[in-house]
Amino acid sequence: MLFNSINFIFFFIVVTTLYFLLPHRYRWFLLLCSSCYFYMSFVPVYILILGFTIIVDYFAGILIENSIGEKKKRFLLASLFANIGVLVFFKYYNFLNENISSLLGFMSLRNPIPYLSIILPIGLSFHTFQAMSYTIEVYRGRQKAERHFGIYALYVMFYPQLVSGPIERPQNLLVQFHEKHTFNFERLSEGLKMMLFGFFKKVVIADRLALYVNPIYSNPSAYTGSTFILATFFFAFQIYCDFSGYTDIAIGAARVMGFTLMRNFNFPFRSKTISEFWGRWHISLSTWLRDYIYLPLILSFSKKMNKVKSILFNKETRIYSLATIITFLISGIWHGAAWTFVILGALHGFYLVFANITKKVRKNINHFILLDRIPWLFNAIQIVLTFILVNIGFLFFRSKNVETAWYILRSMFTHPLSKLYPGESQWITMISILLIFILLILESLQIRGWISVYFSKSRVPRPLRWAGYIALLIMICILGVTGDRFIYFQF
Amino acid sequence: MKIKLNSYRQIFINVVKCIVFVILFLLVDYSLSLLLTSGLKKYYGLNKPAKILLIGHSHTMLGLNKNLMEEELHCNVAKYAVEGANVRDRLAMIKHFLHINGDSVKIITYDVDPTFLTGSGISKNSYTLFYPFMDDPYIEEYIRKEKPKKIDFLIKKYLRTSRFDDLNLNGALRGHLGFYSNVKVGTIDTLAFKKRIANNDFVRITFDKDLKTDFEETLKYLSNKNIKIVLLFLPTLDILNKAEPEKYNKALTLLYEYSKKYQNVYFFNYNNEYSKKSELFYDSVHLNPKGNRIITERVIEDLRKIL
Repeated sequence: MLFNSINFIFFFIVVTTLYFLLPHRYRWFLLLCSSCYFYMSFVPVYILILGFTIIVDYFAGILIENSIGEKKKRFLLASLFANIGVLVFFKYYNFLNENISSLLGFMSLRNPIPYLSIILPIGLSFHTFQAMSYTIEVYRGRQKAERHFGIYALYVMFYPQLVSGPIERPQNLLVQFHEKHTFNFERLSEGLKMMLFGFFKKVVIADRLALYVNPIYSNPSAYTGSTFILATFFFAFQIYCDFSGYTDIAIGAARVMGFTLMRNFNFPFRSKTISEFWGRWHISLSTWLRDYIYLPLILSFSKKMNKVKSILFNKETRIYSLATIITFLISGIWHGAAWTFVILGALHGFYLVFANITKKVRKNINHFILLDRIPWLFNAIQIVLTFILVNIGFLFFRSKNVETAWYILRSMFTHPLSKLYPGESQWITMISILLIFILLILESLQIRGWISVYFSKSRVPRPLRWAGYIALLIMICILGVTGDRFIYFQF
Repeated sequence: MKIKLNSYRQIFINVVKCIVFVILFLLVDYSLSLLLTSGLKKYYGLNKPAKILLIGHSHTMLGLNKNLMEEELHCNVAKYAVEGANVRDRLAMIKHFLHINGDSVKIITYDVDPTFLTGSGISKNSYTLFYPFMDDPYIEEYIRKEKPKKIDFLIKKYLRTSRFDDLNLNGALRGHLGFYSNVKVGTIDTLAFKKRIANNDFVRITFDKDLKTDFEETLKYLSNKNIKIVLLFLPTLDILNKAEPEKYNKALTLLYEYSKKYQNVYFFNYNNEYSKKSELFYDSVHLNPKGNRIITERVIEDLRKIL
């Protein structure tokens, strides 16, 4: 059941109504059952995988809390092993197997491991990371082990954020399941507005941009440079609106029932540096990687790097660079099982390391050419450059394989002024561009505090605000891309 | 007690707010849909009686200049051409037009080509383009026959702006702006198209029995109404015409036979004269502005003879 479906609207209305009608002590059960139903609407049997990791982590949490020393560590490792094991098997088995086959092929050997036809369980990477954050936090003593099995299961399965996050922490979400939420009109209104904006981003912008992007990235040999530039630019907004729209719906749906989920996007395309971009894009993943991978790596390398000497970089730079590259490689592979994702991660790691190493040089250059004296121009250049760098990453994200990505990238630089493909229809492409402008205007108003952002108060008077909501609803009605849309076959 | 009264008051206010919002939304939805529908009616010429009705899909849309025809023929011309409209769609379109504008129509030009009976070769879900007119009984009946999902049908029925999509939004705007010309600028790259033909990358000619029945029903329906029908084969590029010569000839024979069978049916085939002139084509089946002008003038000339 996708969020952008009529079924979800009915599901949401029924669950929310029942939630407030039921006494507090039964609500967890309702939410758990509805989350199971929601999850099983994709591939029902995969509920067993989720059930397995939930049972393992539930008991691991209690055992970790009740143990000390090595034993405590062993329980944590067992839990992590179970979670990562499931993730690796379902997400990376065939990718690893293909690479083993290629490697053995070089040595003229046959790979005896069979290829398995596995369908990736929906949201696996999200709920696995969320479950892992629970056991790690219990291990670190920052979270008490949850004794109520149903509530723990709900922490992993809570339907609004089960499929696409945000990847929550137990300190924020678990406690909220114990709290009694009374019906609150203000929260209902805030949640619905958030959902409305999410639907707008997902159905009107993201799905519409996909109409242009998909045929080009599916058959790149039929297109050239300028078309790739526009398609990649569109894809950046497509993936942003798709993902942030989905999390807006999740955050809004949870808000209606009284839950506050963490903010996941904070105007990422306004970032002036790659480092800032990762502080604004998929924040729940970035902070997860920071807390559970990057910082522990820094700590570990600090102890070990004392012995290693280098004439090139100082100790801090070496530690930072290594930890960053490893973290971003993991981030890349988290996004998908393909070399394109490995490159995506490596590329962003490289951006950050390069930015760190050249910090002083860049500062001097900017000073020399007097750019630092014109802050608005300097900011604009930084935003555009960051956006371009991020787009190169997205190019790898969207491409079928590394060869295709390389072909597209090369074509972008060698034929940037070639004939532009206008899309299925010029009109649809023009609407897409117009909608991107509308999104940027809305975001600018949000940044300036005029329009509500993440439940803040809006400064726009009510009549205008209502006109805005009605306009969004009308745009969803007219411009929303639906499954039964008219498709004109190109001759 | 006071607190309780206050909270009831608050609930009442909030409920009223919700109701007002919903009413406002439905009002805007209704008004906007009326505005868009009227624009779309203007665009297709449904808003006034017409002596000549041009029915078809993108061939007619890009191939015939309605304004020029009106000027030269001194009568109202309606161009009800919808992208991807197949034979079944067109029967609904004809009934729709005649239902609105009564007996004003004397001639209907009906664009045909060898793929006119090709089942799914032109488009998918073309019935969705007619949702804006679903208040018309013929259109509603036609949409119901296409069996859309019940929930989709109900949403379109009551949430009126959801009946529109990009294409008919475009049509509605054009209708209001009086911008009826519909052209695609450019000339076909014949070498590239030859390669596509060699790679079998083109729409195959097939003969769908159901569509044939619908086509014959259209001819009978119009014969009974005593309306002249011109089966208008706007030129298609000769490279494409030669791709499947047997099927191409079969389709042509079929069209000639129809024109012989029914007294009110005429067949205008412009291929012999124009299909080799690639400079007239935007792509293999659509005319560019130059082609549009030449062919429209030619059609005007021929229509004068039967008007």
